[in-house]
Amino acid sequence: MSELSSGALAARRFWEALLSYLGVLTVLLALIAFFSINQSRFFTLANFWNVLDGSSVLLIVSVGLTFTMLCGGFDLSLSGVLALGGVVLWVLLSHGVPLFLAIILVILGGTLIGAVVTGYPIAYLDLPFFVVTLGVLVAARGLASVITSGEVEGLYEQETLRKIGNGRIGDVTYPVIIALVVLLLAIVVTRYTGYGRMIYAVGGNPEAARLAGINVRLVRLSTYAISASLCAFAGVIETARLAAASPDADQGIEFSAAAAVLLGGTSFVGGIGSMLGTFLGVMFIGVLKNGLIISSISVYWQGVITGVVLFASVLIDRFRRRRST
Amino acid sequence: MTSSADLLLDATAISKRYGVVQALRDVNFAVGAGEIVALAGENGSGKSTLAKILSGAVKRDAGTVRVLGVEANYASPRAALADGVAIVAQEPTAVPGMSVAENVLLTQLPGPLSPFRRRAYNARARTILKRVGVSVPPEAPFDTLKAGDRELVEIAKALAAEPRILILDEATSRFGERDVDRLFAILRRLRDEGTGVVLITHRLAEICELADRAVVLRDGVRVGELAREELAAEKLASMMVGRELTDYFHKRRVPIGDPVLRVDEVVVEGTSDPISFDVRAGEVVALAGLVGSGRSELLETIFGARRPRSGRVRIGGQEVRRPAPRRSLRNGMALVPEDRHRQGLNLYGTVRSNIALGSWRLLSAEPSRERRESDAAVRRLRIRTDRTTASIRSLSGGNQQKVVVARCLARKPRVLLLDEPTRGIDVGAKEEMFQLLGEMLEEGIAILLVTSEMMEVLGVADRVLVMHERRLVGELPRSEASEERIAFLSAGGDGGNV
Repeated sequence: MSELSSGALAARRFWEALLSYLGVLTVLLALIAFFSINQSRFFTLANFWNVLDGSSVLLIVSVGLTFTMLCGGFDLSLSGVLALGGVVLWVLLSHGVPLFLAIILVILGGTLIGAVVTGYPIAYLDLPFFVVTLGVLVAARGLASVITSGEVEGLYEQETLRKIGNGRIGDVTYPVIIALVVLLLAIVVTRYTGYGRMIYAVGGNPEAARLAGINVRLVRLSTYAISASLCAFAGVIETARLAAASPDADQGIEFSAAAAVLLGGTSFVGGIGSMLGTFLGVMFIGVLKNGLIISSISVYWQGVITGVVLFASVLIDRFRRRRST
Repeated sequence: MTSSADLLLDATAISKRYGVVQALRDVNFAVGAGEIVALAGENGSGKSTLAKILSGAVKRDAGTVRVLGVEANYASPRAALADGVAIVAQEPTAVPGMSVAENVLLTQLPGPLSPFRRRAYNARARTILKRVGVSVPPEAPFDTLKAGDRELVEIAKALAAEPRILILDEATSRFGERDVDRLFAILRRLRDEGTGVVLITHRLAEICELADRAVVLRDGVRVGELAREELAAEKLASMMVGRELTDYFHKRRVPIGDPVLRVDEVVVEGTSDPISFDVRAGEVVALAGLVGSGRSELLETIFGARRPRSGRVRIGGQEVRRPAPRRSLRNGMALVPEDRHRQGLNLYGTVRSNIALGSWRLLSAEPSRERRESDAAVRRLRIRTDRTTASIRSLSGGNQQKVVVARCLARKPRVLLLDEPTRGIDVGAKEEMFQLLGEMLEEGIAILLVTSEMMEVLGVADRVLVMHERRLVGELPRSEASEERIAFLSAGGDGGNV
């Protein structure tokens, strides 16, 4: 048994941590370098905040998805709950409910959907998450369309709401601050609380976690509740940004979020991954989209490139793991 | 010794490195026709690596392998199989959803474009099954087989290729005592037919009973060989560890106190007979019986991992209501489960997170407490790892098992349930395990132990409960417990079959 000095140990741990983000960090830096060389407007602080602003909603839902995926699940219902959240906010506001109460009610409603409609059948009735979350996706979006008869409902007169979505301190918009606070909280919860350790344990080996006394079903249910509450909250932010509630808001964001989470090194089967990785994955998608727009390249290339990079990063990861064992 | 003329397999100067670990160094190993050669050594001594090299699963770094006099460089187990080298691996490789015949002939499937003739296929499987003494219809689904038959189907699968050399890598550790006898009869017959058999096992008694000679490895080096007449368990064990072993499975004598665990009329799911007994403070009660006799199920039901049909479990007079693992743990009962990979460990986690597994409180900050407690546990249980943030996978089987035990002890349990705690771990680790349990007994813990090692039952238990076909069929105090008596009861003697 070799005794390492604490300094050497810390350095080793730092490199190990860096190595686990190597894939996404490399492509992210390469992307930034590429756009910086080609576009003088790209590598500026203002544009950095701009990228973050464009990624704030994706970051919030990706954080939620990271919870479910770390725990060995998946949530396809992100955009459905998000759209329903926005529409319910419109309903509440149009009935004269004060803004901040309305926001809290929307988040609570999202939590309730996540816990009862999504989480309970998956965690306690052992239904497959694919079926349940797909059902919730379709049903929630459908419900949102029913409520507004498929229309987009304007909320321009809600000045405070618009401010939440578009206000700024210097170059930094409020959605960026909100998303970063959510990320920070998620990092603290996953890394430094007993609850966070339980999520990793359940994702890593549910049977061992159960025999070790963890309430596996409740932990599973809770991750869907967190995911849905963050989606409802993201719906509020999106509605505030657009000053309108749309039943078609952010369609397909679950796939961008899944790409971001997986790029960030979270395992599809659970137990491995981190919130910081998810942040890097979201930044990759944000930088890519922003760079393409600045370079006047069709923004639709974003999907193609994300797909290729996701595939490549999983391959690289596989190689790295094989070498280290 | 066999002369080089009839050597089936001759490996010379085999070396293999994994990263910084020298798994094998200049190892010579030969198998002649019609002999059973045992390969003995502790975990990590290189036995399995050698087996994998010989069977084509792993490439060697240096050395030569000759099979039937021809130099062999196998790229895959399939290539080795085509040359007549078959292996029965440590882990079961059956496909549960397929039929018995399809499992037996899995390596003999027709090519992708050739027709699949089910009738001929089943007939062929039936002949092979008959050779290993399994009398089930080949078309039966594999999952309907009984425990012992499943293991024998694995053997049948290896025999399907009609190998000249058969390697068994810890294959016997999954057999109960009765089924091991069936396996031994098969191996003896194969030997008499001229097959070369390589037997890798932790059970030294099996080597002494069966092998014609034994080669001993230690830390990747061949340390010696014992001929048939020299074979003895103590001699093998001391060669393996390089030191004389104390009798590791002898229980410390501690005063026995009041009952701590009371099992009261518990009916295990899928059975109908209620089971009652208690375990006292400082006492070790062993649950003996064949594999499949329902010992693990009983243990898991007592722990609340399975829901009982009826009955009560009390710990220190306190009933565990609505049984569940977390309630049992809260009441002072801990379980070291049978299968440490599937039930015991989060293999994605670190040593530290596995020791702390389940001890977390929801909202409190845990890292510093986790570090403190895991460091203490690593020291106390002498878990060999250079740091507690190392991946749990980097530990040997014995040390992984100690991690599971460390987690249980961290809860300061009053009742410890142990299900095959020494399975697949080496002699040194077993010794340490029992020494640790001895220390726990002095602190007044009550232990309920399931083990298939007869020597452990006899050495350690104050009382032996014997199970047969999911029923408790006998109770023997230490003074009456003997191998013959336990075997008799386990096999359903004394009217066990009603």
